[in-house]
Amino acid sequence: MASRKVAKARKAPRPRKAPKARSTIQVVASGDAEPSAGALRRKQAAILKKLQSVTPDQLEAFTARSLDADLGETVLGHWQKTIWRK
Amino acid sequence: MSTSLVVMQPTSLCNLNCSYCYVPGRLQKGNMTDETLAHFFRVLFDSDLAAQCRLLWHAGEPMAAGLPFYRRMLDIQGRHNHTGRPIDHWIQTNGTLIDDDWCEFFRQHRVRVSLSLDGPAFLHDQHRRDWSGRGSFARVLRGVEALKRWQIEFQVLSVVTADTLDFAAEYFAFFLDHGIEWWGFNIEELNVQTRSSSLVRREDRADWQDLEQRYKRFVATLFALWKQHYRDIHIRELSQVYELVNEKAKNPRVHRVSEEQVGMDVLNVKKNGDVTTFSPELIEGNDGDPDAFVLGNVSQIRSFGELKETVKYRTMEAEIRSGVERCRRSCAYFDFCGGGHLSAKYFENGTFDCTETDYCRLHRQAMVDVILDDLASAPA
Repeated sequence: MASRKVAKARKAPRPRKAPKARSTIQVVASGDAEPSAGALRRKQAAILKKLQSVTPDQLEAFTARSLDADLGETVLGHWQKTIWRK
Repeated sequence: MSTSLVVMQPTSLCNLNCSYCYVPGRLQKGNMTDETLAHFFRVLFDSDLAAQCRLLWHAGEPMAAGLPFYRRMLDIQGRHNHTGRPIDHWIQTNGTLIDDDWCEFFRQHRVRVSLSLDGPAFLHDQHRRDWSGRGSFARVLRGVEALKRWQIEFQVLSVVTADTLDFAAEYFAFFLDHGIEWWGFNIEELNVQTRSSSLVRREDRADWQDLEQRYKRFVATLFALWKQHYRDIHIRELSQVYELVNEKAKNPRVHRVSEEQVGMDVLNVKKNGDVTTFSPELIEGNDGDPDAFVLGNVSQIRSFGELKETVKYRTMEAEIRSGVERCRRSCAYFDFCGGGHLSAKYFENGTFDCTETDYCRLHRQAMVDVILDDLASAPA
């Protein structure tokens, strides 16, 4: 349901700016389009609701090892490594 | 300023001609010279580094530079390391050139290895072919066998294209059957070389919904299989989102920051000594200017910190920061993403100062939706 709402919101993007001159790549994606405040709040609420619906037994259930301790020390982990900020 | 990873391009030469590669000049022979290596290590050891700095030898095919290159490199490193600071060496390789001599070198110098491998032959060989058009799968598996023989741990990084999406079970089974414990997958992106991707639609949006659904089914299948085998296998992307859901459940303020957004944390050094930062993909510039993101050359600087004072760096950083802030303001998935994948922003939208890309619609938003839906609805 949530994804349908996003798709609907994207049907009428705001007018887009012209691409910056320093790139010769044609710009046609909707990178400048921003959803309305209402659409954003609805989507955020839907995500939060899902997040709160995750039951405690699902949380930590599939953590075999700490990612920070293991993945962070691998070549793989360093590609797009995530830094957790709180 | 602190640098934790330097992505090194010892040569642009590659024995493969993968369809999605962003590196030009892959038929050009020639390695980074000893003089450039000496300049690099002089600058490296005079610069601020994280407690442990890693050098990641990368594209073209780093092993095409040959073993003598790496032996000389270690010698030059030793002569310049007046700090006693440890340097880890990592290599991202297509795996086709791995033999016993290389394994002995990896073992002796504790080089960590990551292979580029796209799954079973019928998927891998569609895009990872040599210059004669022959698939490379069998040669990569010979490399895998050599690493196993020498008991050298390795990880796998693969590229998912539209061709992969309908074969999630086969893709997963391949890694499980081959005992590959650590793997991750990027999705095919736009870059300066290819200018097209099976997963970026830009103008033609007609089949976008279908593509998005196929991607979601792919991730849902992988996630379901991963949950059955999570003790044996780590899939970087799924583990990260799962971990983040866990963290956010404990503390809603937790959010993700990609390392490549932090200026100078990741440096990229080209064969000729040119230096860029942020995404490794930016090392080849844009299609109007191969030096578009070059901040300086190791032969002309005293420390990497100097590069932060250049107009080009400040301009890029301001543009990137503005784009991240726009993502923060406008995207419900911001905490799970942190502001996007910079090279996708640039090559899809022509600027860093933008928000959504097809990359993030799939590899961030759709992935979070699938994993959250799964965790919110399924019993443990």
